[in-house]
Amino acid sequence: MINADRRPRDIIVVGGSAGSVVPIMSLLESLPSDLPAALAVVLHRHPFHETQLPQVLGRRCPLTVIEPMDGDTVQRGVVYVAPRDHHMLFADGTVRLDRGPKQHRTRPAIDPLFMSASAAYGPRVLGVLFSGLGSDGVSGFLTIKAAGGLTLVQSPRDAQFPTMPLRALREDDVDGALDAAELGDAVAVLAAGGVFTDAARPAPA
Amino acid sequence: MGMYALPPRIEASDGAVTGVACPDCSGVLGMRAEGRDGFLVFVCRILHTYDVAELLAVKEERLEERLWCGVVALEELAQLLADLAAQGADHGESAGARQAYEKRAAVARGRAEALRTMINANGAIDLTQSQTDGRTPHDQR
Repeated sequence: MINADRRPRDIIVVGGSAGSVVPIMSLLESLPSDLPAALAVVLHRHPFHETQLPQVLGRRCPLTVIEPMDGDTVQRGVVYVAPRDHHMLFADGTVRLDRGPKQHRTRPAIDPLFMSASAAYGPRVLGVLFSGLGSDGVSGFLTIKAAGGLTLVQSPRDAQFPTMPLRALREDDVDGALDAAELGDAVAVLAAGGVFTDAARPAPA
Repeated sequence: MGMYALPPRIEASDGAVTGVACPDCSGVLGMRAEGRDGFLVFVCRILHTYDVAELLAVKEERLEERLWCGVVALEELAQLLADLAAQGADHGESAGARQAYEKRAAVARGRAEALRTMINANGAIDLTQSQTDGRTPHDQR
């Protein structure tokens, strides 16, 4: 049982690396069009090549999927995708972009998004970590949890590269490990302040 | 005073200073242990951030760059000495001086070639290779 205290988790921060484009697409396409939350997605991506990532991710997503401009006001129903070669952060109700130091050899990196979201929104934050190699996102997960937020990983058996989810599970009490197909439902329920029960693995009585 | 790379003790809460430099900015590199399994995170003043595998990888990249700098230095020196030997007669150098330049050029060329061969073979920097089988590339030939 996730979110027993029924808090709305309306700041959804998503990180993914190798093998995460397809499961993140399936998360985004399964979200309701009236999702009462803002989403931010950091995908490890090439710093130079333009890849039309928001168009790819948004192809079947009912929400607006954009690369924000620095200083855009955070809005519900919008999916913000970190542009290449920029970290994406939350501060003062806005989305900030900067070219701060690379973390885990990459920019955008997942940890700066997770940590800034946690600092700005505390328990309202839901972090979701997808397939990938390495450990970006693990420190961010610890920060989110310490501030009262929730964390979910793509289940390692469902992830093409399970290293990132496995490291998160090893280092912290992650709230759930779900297949990509279930994550959309979980996000929708938690964003609205509902309790999510994993149908495949019900919580012990 | 003993030097170290990793500090002898890492306090989980406030971290520690390492004895190695940040591979991206040469600043002082700190470290801390996070999570219940003691996940090590290295962070410099700038906030360049690495896990263990990333730190090793970037350190290896910097080592490769610096070794190439050595090749450039040796090849430039060899060429300078060779040109001085070839053109010395026009500038009043004695035959003995020109021969000395040529000898030094040959030594520099030899060392440049040796270093280039070593880097090409990846033997000096492929840490994973020597970790997995405990042998150096030289042993495998």
